[in-house]
Amino acid sequence: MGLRRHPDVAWQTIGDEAVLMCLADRRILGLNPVGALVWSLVEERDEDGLVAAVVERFSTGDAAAREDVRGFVALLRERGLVVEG
Amino acid sequence: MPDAWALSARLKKAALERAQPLAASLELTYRCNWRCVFCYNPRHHDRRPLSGAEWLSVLDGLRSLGTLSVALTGGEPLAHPDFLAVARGARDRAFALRLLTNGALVTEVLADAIAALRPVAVEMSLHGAAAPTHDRATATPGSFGALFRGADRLLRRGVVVVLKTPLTRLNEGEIDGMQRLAEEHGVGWRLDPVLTPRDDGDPGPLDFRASAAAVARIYARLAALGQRLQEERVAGGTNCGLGRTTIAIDPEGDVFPCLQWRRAPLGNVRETPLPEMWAGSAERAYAAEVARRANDRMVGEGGALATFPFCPALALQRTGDPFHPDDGHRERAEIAARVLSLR
Repeated sequence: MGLRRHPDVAWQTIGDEAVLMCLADRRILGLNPVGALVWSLVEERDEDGLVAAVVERFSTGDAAAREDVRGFVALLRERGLVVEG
Repeated sequence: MPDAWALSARLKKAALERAQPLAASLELTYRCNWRCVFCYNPRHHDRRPLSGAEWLSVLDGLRSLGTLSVALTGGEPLAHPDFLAVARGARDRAFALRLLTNGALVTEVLADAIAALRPVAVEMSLHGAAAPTHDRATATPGSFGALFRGADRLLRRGVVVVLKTPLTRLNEGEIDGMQRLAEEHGVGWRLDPVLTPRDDGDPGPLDFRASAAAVARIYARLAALGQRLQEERVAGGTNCGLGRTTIAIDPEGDVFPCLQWRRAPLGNVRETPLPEMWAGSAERAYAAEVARRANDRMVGEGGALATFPFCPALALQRTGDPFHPDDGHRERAEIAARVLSLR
């Protein structure tokens, strides 16, 4: 997918969740374990890779995982949390 | 972190249970262009300060440890020759960045660079409502004007500036004026009635403590603004993040479990990698246990102490016992209880 996390996002994982601080508009977001996994891998893997990681970690079906990944990545794009790499 | 950035109670609890140091304070240097009469930093300057490259390595270690927010402080952090490289390094590693500076070294060029880093906040100390009081506290003529020149440069670039005032006997008569100044500049303002001894144990700064009457006036004002003076504390809880969610590193690389706890370092970053030090330190484990036991000790004390925010590190400095509050703490707890009972 060639995505990069936006440089104005500070973030860290806490357990299997993650917290994102959007420094430009001063919002704070919490990510559930699926979101946290996708966020942590979003620069390294394409959609298939992210789906595979979700399937492996959460023992879910491929179709459901793909739907989750697509929806979440679309949300990241929409909110400007990732930029095209 | 300002309230706007407050983590959920659930995530805070998770970090506490995992001993994940979310908030790191990096004392880049003890050098300072001001000479505040109640400064808590040791008098010596940095004997063998960490270089910019060493601080970047520290940042890598903090990332591994799970830190989210990095505060660059001092001394005056802008006096470190590699300040900007370290600040950029923090943002490059996706940390939230806070700067604690006196503002005097913020030039137009540096203000541009700081604004580009999008710090969560730049916190600056205000010691009086006008130059004579402020400059007397800093023992630096012209420091009042320099503070506001620096603050205004940042404000013009949209940086969030917060003024912080340690309440002292020098400025306790200028509270209204300082609040007005903050309002005129459109910045937040925080007031803290607690002065601490120097980190080397010298109690000299305590000579400047504000009067009990001034503390009572401040607490009444804070309560009227909806600020909580007390906290809910229940048996079995933890007093604070000491040894778990906070970490501090001094200019020479000694690591402490919070900015205030100076009993002994966990180690030095030049000798031991941070993650290894944090996991294996008996001092950290002791500090974390102190934080746990301090909660129950304060609950057991009952009365005003049971609900008043308590710092075991400060108690250790003042009384030699991290569970034994000093007289100043007991007095402030009583004042807060009295103020709240009158509302």
